[in-house]
Amino acid sequence: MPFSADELLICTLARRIRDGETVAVGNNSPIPAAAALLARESHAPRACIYIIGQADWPFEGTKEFFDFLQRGGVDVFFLSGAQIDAYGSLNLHVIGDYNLPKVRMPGGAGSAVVSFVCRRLFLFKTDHTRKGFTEKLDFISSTSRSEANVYRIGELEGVFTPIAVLEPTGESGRLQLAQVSPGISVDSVKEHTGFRLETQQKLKQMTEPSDEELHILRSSVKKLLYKIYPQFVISLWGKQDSDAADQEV
Amino acid sequence: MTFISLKEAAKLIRDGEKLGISGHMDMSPMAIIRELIREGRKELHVIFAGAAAFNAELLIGTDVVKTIEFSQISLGEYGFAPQFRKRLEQAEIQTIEHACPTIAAGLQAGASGVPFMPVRGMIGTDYMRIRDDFHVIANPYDVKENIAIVPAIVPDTAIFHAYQADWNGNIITSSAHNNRLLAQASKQVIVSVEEIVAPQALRRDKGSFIPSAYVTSIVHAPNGALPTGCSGYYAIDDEHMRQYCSAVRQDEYQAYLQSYVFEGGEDSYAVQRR
Repeated sequence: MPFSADELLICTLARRIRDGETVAVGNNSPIPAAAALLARESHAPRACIYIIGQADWPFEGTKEFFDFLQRGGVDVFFLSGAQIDAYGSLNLHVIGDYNLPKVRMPGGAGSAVVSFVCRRLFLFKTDHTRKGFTEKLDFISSTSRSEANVYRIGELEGVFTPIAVLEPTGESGRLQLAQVSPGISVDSVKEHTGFRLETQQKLKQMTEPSDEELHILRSSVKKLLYKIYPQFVISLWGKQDSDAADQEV
Repeated sequence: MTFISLKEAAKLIRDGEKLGISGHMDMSPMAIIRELIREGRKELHVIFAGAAAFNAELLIGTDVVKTIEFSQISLGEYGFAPQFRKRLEQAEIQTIEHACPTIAAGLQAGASGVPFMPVRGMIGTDYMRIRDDFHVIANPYDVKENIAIVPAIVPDTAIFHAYQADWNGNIITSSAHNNRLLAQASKQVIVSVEEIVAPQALRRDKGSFIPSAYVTSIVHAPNGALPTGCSGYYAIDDEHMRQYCSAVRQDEYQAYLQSYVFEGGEDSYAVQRR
């Protein structure tokens, strides 16, 4: 069955979620929200999922949610960045000088805290360009590594894009190419990456979404996701007559 | 606790003060925000109680705001917030930048009447470089560990939107935003509500309860969150948000303000949007 780049990314992230894990998804993150829901609707029925923006929010504000994260309540969290460096630090703030930016982005939200306190951190980008993967960041919104005297309970699992998966490798934790998506060459990934990228010894090919995954994604996940991210759902899968009726105000 | 009009609410907020505001693409206190713009308030230091959206965007395009204290400002599914982006790229607004958990921690310190609060993470990020009032201390109970601390946040006034108030000033509001915390931290609290009901009709099952102890004034403002949503009452006004984004793309922010904020006031706004 044909699939889009977003669907490949969603399925690749979903497969990494384990049954029974507590998974949290922050603001403006429809791709990880879809991945978390797909995991729960398929191989991880006992995953516990909290998505900011969901209707039945169990916490008092985001304050309690971040407290819950800080005390170690969350196994899996997802972050993105306009720039990601070779060690998985990320920039959600500015391109250019902080005080007089060329491009001002929305800001870091919870990233500067959550990357330290979730057990497994997944970074993702919906595009893969040299400008997005840089040796140096214009602003460090969050980091994936700390000194020993700073509390950090988790680790970076990898960086996921539509064409590749990069994973921290060896002592240094520098990102290496671990998976390429079908039809993409190693050289092409390197060309689209702004920092020097080495290839892991056992490089794998990303598994294509199965028909079953795509079916679940385009039926039950789509329906659940529409309540939180209607515009994203419409842009990815188009509008259906039943959508309006399902929408809860 | 008093029941007041929108106009009276705007007059309770003074030029130059610290104003706390909650909400995102839902539950933003837009009616009060529009009244502040009509009143021509100046030099406000606005603190957003969590990630912010159209509440911030509309204010930032005007001269009401001098300083913003925030963790993230975007229009959610409608993308970048264009006025926020423009004014920061032109360095026209002072910024005090947070991570979402440091705003929550600062407000918690304010609510508890203590001067600061420790927060996990932060160390090694550029927040510690741009915020000279964020510090790293040795944990006094485990000196092997360093931890970041952030100062208390105490807004002079808080404004937020809610579902219901009862006659005694108790509030039911969305649990998705930090409304209760914001109310606890602030010196004066003004709430706009969809409905005013008898105490026995207060729907505690519908959201967070905020006791009247934390509430100064209540404004009856049906549709007061539009064009942002208000769960159980109305969804985001999608058509309006598309109009806004297209107007701003064509550099017609001032024309938008003229049509939807200045001309005709709140009644005509709500009627137009219904």
